[in-house]
Amino acid sequence: MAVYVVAACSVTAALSAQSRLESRVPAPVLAAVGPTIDSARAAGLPTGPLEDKVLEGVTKQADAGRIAAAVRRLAGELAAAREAFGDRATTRELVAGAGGLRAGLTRGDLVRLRAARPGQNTALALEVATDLITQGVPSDTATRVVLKVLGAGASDADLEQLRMAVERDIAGGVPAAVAASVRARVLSGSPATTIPITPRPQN
Amino acid sequence: MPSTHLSAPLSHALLACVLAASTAGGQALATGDLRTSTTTPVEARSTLALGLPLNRGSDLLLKAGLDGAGWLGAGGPGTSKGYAAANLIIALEGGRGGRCAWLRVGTGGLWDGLGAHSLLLAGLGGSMTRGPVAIELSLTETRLMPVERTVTLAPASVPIDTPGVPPPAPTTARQFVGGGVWEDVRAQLKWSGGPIEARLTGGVEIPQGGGRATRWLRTEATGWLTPQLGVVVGVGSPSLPVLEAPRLSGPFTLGFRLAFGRAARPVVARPPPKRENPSFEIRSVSGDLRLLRVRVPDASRVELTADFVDWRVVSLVPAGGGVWEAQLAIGPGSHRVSIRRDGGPWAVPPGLPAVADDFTGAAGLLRVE
Repeated sequence: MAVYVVAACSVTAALSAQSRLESRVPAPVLAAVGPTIDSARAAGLPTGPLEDKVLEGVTKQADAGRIAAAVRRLAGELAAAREAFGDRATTRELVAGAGGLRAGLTRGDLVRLRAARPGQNTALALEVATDLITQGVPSDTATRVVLKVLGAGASDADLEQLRMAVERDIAGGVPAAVAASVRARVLSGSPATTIPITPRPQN
Repeated sequence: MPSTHLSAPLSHALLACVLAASTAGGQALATGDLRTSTTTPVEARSTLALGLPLNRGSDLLLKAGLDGAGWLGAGGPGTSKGYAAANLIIALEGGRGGRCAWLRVGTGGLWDGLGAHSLLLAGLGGSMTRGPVAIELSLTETRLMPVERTVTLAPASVPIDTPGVPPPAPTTARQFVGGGVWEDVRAQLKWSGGPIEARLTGGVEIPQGGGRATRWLRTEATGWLTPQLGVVVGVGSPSLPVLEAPRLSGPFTLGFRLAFGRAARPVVARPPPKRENPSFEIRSVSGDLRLLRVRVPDASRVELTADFVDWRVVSLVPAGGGVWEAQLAIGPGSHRVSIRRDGGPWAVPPGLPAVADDFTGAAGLLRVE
């Protein structure tokens, strides 16, 4: 009975996705991306992000070949993220991992970031690392910075604070790598920061 | 005692370099500054402080710490030789706008031609930072204790008409010399741009109980050759406050500065420049409903597509002044957004960082808290 329920749910999900795409995606595009989405579903990967990619491509008036290539690439990134995180990774973690790989993180970076937070959701740490890279922080520096902060026991709020603080510093003219490194040292409690507590009394 | 006091500020600076404290959720800092110049052989200051946020997510920090300062002069007779002081500081610092207010009390010593004076300091002040510019005001009261001296008084005359009677011996007396109380009003304007740091400092020192007020002004620029080593040039007025190092030669200063605990740039002292007319803005309305505003001047039609609208095309409405807006349900997280103007190609919205896009080259990345 349980097998029938699971099978029914899978079929329902597939039909739902199909109807979501069918109502908005031209037939040639559906034909081009269908096999990739079906393969991903069979492999246990989340198909929602793949469907989003199809809809994005259609809205942006990309041709079927380009949309199919983008979907294949994303499916590959999701699979690589699942390989790094394991079968128990959430959809958000897989999407964040795929985004990180796209931004320049390596599979090893994903593994290290996951290991830095055993048993907890790694999605936010990945998203923060990806955001840092987007803002110009080198990928190795971004990974090191996030690992340093996680190693000091940072919470989700601390990670958000890191991201916002680096963004502010960069907007203020600080080089991205310097901003990320210094903020990580501040948040991890390392010595030698430059925050002035008071003006020099004799100057 | 002088040797202990003279070594104290230097050991402060060195100690600050190697000491570090860490508090959960707080900040710890240790900085030191050591300089030598044509006007002052040795000048040092250091800071050791801890800060804790007033509440989680707040930019307000409550800080407490010690700072020390001192210099060794080589002035001629009648000028001060050295100074050292340690201050306890309590400060409230706001991250946004770089505002800070502080109270300080301190003690130390000043060595001049009369001897070693102990001193007490008490003051308050505030500073504000906008971009590369920082303004600072302070008011300090300094109490300099007089120095006790033993003075030998020779007899007024030596009687010579009574043989066998020894002349009166010289008498000694104890005197208290030097000392005083001063109010020091000080203002400083500092500009930091890349490797250059410039300061304009001036003030008025007003002795209590009458006496002439001393007005002074000094300007100085530091060119940082490395994050720690800088070259200092400056010029100042001939009259200086009591606790300033006396000049060896003229009003001009040329020297080197060694800073400990200083990053390549004053990273966190400068908040981002305030954007008067932001290109992209998002405001919370209620729950996940947010007002999205984007500046696209000279457009007849502006459309948006994003993951949070299921990649449908949403038309924005004009809000005047070249601003277009829409109320949309946008959940927290990272979102990819593109806009187009007058039916043209999809592009990164102004004001958002760009991320690689499979179809148009780049899309905007929107982060919602």
